[in-house]
Amino acid sequence: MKKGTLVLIIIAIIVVLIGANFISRYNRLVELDETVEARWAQVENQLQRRADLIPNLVETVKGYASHEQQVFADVADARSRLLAARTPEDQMEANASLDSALGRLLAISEAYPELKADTSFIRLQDELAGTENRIATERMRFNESVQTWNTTIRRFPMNIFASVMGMEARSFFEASPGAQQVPQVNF
Amino acid sequence: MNRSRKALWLCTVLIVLALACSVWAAYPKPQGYVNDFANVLDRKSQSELQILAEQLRKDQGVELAVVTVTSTDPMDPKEYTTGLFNEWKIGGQEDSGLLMLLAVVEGAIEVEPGYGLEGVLPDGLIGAVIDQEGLPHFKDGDYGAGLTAMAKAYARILAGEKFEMAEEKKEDYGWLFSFFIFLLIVLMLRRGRRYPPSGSGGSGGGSGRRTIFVPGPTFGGPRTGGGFGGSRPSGGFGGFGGGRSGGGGAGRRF
Repeated sequence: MKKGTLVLIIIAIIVVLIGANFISRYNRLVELDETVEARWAQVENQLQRRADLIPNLVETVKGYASHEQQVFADVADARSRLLAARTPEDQMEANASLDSALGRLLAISEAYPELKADTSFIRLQDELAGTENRIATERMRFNESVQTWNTTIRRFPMNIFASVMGMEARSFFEASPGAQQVPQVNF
Repeated sequence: MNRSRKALWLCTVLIVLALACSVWAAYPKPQGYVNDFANVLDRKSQSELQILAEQLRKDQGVELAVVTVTSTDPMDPKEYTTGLFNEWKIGGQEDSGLLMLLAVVEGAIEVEPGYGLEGVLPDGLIGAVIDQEGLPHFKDGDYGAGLTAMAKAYARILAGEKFEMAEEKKEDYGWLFSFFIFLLIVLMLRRGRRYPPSGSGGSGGGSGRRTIFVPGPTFGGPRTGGGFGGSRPSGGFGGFGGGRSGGGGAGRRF
């Protein structure tokens, strides 16, 4: 009888300890998960901001180079795909195609000296370059948080816990190859 | 499945490497609001910038850091600027910091606002100030004057003044028009003077009194350095206030 109570108490203590451990692990994961989500929201903010800048930029370029219809159509198409994308993966992909379309849009401006000297075009280019730098910064911070998340849930014994909870490794937001170069305003 | 896992590993390794690199590229320690690591600023500009920064700190709660470096080498100037901003944590609780960085070898000027100043100082405006206030001096190699002029412009904007952006440089025909008017007046007056001598001189008397007053262009008085009060550099620099930035701002190569 006495022995039975002792065993029961020990079991109870072990259960409580495991439970506490469980809770702290769970909370840690929730915290990390929230960080990743918050960082991603920041990336999305900047993507949105860029998408908002584009119509103005296109209008300005149109004023000088109205016959470059193909590029305008490509930019508009990529932009609407970015705005329609819902999952991070789709957004990353749409963003990459927007990068290349924008690259071509800015490349045609080289052929129009008057456009290059237009003050509002220069302002827009500054805003665009600033936003792309912001995207780069937020993307870096997002990737850092993803890395923390991934290493945490892969470590023993968290990996067992995480797989029981159905938590998976997340993917990084890589820069598209052409997007490393932020447009520069040169004089 | 196996391939995606491999890719994930590769990414992790790359990112760890990148992080390690960014740690190795140690940033210098801040010495104050003005950090002339490249040794290109003259005394006068340094103290002017110092006073401006202190004034900004006191009046607007904005922390301005001015930095010159010889080179930002492993990184590009923009990346370095964002890194330095967040390493030094320029700006107070509201992330109200502003970093002006000049890299001599790259010939680069980068200006980055903290999160809190992005509204008052949009990138387009930051770029316009660089174009109008900074670049003309930088092209002459006068870094001190350029940075001072830029800092003054930013201070005025932060104080709520509107920054006059130079409009597109269209040919200004205003002067031509006034010149024609002037010519017309001169011609008319001369005509008035030339013809009377043919007469008996009855009406000639008045001509001598006619003086043509040409208002010359009035140049403004000597430019005073803006109205900052006589606060002295207080010497003690207690470090920056913990602000963050998100990589915005504008930059130029000169």
